[in-house]
Amino acid sequence: MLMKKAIFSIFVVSIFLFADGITPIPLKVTDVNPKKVSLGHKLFFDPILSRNDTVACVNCHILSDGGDDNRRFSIGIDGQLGNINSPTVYNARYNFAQFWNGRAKSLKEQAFGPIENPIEMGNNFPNLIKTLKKSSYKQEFNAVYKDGITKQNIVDAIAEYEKTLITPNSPFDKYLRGDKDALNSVQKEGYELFKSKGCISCHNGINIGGNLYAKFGVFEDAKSKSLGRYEVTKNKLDKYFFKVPTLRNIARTSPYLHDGRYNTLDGVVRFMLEHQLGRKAKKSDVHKIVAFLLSLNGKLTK
Amino acid sequence: MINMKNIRETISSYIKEPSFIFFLVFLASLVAFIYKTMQIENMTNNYVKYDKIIDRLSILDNDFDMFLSQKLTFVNYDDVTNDIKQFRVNLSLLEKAKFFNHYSKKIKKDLDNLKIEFGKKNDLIERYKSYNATTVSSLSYIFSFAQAMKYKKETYKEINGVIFDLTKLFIGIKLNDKTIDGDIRDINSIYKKDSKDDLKYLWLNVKQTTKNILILNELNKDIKYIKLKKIIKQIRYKIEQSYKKKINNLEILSIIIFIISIIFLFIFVYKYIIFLRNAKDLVSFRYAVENSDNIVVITDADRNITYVNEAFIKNTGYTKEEVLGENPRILKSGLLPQEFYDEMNVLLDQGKKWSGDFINKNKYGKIYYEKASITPIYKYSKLMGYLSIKLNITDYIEQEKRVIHLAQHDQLTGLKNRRAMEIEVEQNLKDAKVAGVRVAILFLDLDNFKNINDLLGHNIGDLLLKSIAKRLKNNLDESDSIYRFGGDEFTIVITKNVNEKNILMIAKRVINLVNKPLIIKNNDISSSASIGISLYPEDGEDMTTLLKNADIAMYSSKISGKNRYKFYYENFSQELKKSINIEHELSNALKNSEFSVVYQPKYSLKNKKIFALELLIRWNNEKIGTVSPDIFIPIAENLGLIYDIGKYVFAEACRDFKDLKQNLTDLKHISVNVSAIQLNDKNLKKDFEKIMEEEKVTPKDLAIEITETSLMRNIEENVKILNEFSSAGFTICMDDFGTGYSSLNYLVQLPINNIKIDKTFVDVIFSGKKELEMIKSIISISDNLDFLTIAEGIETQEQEDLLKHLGVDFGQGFYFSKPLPKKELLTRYK
Repeated sequence: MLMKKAIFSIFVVSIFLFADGITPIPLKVTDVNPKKVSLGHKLFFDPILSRNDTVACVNCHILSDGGDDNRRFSIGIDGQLGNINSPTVYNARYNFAQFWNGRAKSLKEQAFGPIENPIEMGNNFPNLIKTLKKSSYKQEFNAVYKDGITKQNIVDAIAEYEKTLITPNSPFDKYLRGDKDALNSVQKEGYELFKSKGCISCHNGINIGGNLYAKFGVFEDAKSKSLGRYEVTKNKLDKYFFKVPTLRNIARTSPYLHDGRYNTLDGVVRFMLEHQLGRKAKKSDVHKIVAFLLSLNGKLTK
Repeated sequence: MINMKNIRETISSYIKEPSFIFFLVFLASLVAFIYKTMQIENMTNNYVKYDKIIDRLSILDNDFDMFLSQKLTFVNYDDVTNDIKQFRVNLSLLEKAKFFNHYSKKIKKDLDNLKIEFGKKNDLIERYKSYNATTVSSLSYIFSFAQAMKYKKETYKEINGVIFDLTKLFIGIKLNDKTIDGDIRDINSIYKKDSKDDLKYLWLNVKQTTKNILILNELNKDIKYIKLKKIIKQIRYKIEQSYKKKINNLEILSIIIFIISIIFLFIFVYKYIIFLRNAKDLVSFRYAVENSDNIVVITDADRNITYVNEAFIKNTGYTKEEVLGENPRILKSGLLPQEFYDEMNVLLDQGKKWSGDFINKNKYGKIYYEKASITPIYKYSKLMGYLSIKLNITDYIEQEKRVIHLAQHDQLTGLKNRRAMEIEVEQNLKDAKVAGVRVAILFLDLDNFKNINDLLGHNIGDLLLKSIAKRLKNNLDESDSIYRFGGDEFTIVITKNVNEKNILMIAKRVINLVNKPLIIKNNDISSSASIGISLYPEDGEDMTTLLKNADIAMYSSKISGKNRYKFYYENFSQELKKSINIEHELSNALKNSEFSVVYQPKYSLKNKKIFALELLIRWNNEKIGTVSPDIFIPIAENLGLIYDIGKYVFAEACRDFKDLKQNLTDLKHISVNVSAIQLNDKNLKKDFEKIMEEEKVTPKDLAIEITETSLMRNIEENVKILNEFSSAGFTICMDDFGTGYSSLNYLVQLPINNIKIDKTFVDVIFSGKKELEMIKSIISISDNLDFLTIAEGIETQEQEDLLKHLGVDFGQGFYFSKPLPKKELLTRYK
């Protein structure tokens, strides 16, 4: 009996033992071109990107509040309502793909999307380039890019800026870096549960998520309207597979899930445990895990 | 603008230079070689770069396989995510156009396949990640449950069995579907018996896990169907082959280019050496041209002078600055007709060489002659200009003129010579024929010129000819041409107003001119001439005939007594035939015994007794009759017949002496005339001695009679010879004394016995006071020098008396006796 228990223990431990599951965010971004960053920064905040000069990137990715808009669905041009929850722009560079369905492989690819999306910025690139060429952007682009204002250069500048949007120095990162006091005991217990309950099997890596797709509703039907990755690949096997989102700054980015169905962390943690991990969600466990999640808030960019 | 044009022309002329082209080709080849070498390096760098990328893809693919082999293990997916990103980045590096340019477009297909296979693998990995994550957490639940469960032994056993099966699955032992389905049913039945939440989740997790493990096993199988590795290997092989092939080609090409560049370098160096040699030659040529005696002129295609050498400057007087850019026609003298230049230009325009003689004028207007050749200069079949090489032949031409003058003029008299006459008379006759007018030829021969030459020497003779020529020249019309035909012969050709009356007047004038007294070096010389005249066309149509006929007429004048002129007429020729044949007949006269001798007595004026006989020769020819010795003796002298004639005469005298002596008791000797030519014959004395021996006479029986004039020529020699004869016993008699120019000094030296007083003195003994005084002087000298005197040509009693009275010893002449043949003489004085 004991023997068997020991074997199982070894199995359990072996699953997570050597896992260097989560890594901290670097304290500084060094791999960017400052000129491009400053141009991208300006564009990010400038509604000139939208058809009628009303919507800027920052509208849905409010940097002072978690890099999203805290709405279930975002509001685009002419007050149109989107059909998906806006993901945070913070630490997006660490995602292996962008958008919930992963349809953009990079930040640059992502940046094309909202500009030409009729319910987001509702613009098109020929028009945008024309508009930009009439503005002071002409000189600024010429100063940075040899070929001046082009479709590629616009998204390149924005993506370059977005690379700088990271949130280092969260308490958990500090903990990972060796500051054992950065987490309180409840949070520490929460972290252990995060690992033992199997959360970490999907939410791992530098971004605590954002590096794989997972089926939405593994053990129980999650009743999703969106078909997830299937929308991109049209492969039956991909039905209801979504990009696993980052948990960094999770406390700042409610509502949760692709359809923003939960407003609280308690709710969404319970949902995850039951639907995704196939376990009973004990109240105390949920409480502890939420406490841990709160330690993932990093320092926001101003 | 002009500078730019010049520069362009200079450059284009360099470019046309073959050696420069070879140098350019060499440079181009060298550049190509360097370029190719760089290409090789570049290609190698590229190949290394792309090979590294392929390497990385291969390593990443291995990483993917490693990842996929970590079944049912918790994995931080950041690593594999990064690997995928890296793979994609490297893939995009290959997709660039450059890559295909470096290798082949064909690789595109492989690359597309690579992308497709990578897409498949990527999908598989993503799926694997998803299922692995779920399965890992499920297994974790199940093992945690098993670790913590507190159930009845039976239930426990059953759960344990299921977990054991899961463990088998987990470690890769295959289970059949029945077993798995059974396990799931077992757990489900346990959950239904004891409906606890944890059992429900256990059942769900087992169900999920078994399902997932099977999916994961399926995915693992699928990996085998992904040909990513094979394609990477294939691409690597292809680019390696392509690289090797290209490098090989490039290496061959660059070696070829290198060889070409070396070849062209050699050609260039070779050409350059030739160029240098040519340049050296050019310097020599230039030096040669500069210093040539030939005039060298180079013009451009428009015939403007671009170069002249020193000789040009020297010959024309122009400086270089004055003529550069000018047309050579500035030298034209205008003496050549335009056709001359037209013909020259026709040749030059055809690109042919022209040569000919120019008559040009120099800067100062002086005419000069040039022998010239002009060659058009072509380069690359384009006319570049003309080269003219000329030689100033003015001196030569003038020299030639002088030579012609010399050839056609007599140096002594300055008159035109026979040669000139022949040329001019031919022309005159041609002209006359065309004009239908007459031409007269006067053939003039000086009388007794030979005597003057003999007596006074050639110097005087020459001066005489000169003076007469001058006289004729000065006193005849300019239109009348005078030629010295040769010796003492002149011809006068008259082309204007030719009629008998006119010609007669001219002939008379010429004779008068010749007759005019002349003093040459203190010698009083009187001369005369015989003239023959022929007229064109009546006396001959050609020059030879006309000259011959004029000569015949002249000869007739001579025979007729000299110092006169005669017109030629046709019968005249017949009459004179014999005369003209004298020479021919004379040479046969001795052989044909045509000569005979006569004797004229020399008698004492005191007792009228014959003291000596003078032998005189007579010639009687069948054809031409009797010819006077005055005529044939000079001819015999000229023909050299005189020696034989002289011996014949001497032999006659010796033979006749005995007979005559028997009848003429007072006869002392027979005198024989000996000419100066005979006297100079070295054998003369021997010959005479031989004859005397044969005829048995002695020298005292004979006298040698010699004229004063012939003695005076070569007097020194003659004194010697006569002395020999005198000492041998011959009597020496001086003939024609008083007509010559003997000095007393010679009279003393000469071994003279007798002196003959010339007939001219005797003739005028009563009229000429001078002549009488002369006779008296001769007698006086002869008395003093013991000469016996003999007076010639006594024709009257009065002459004889006076001479006797004056004291002359002997006489000779028609009054006493004419010359008689031996027979007659013997008869008369028997």
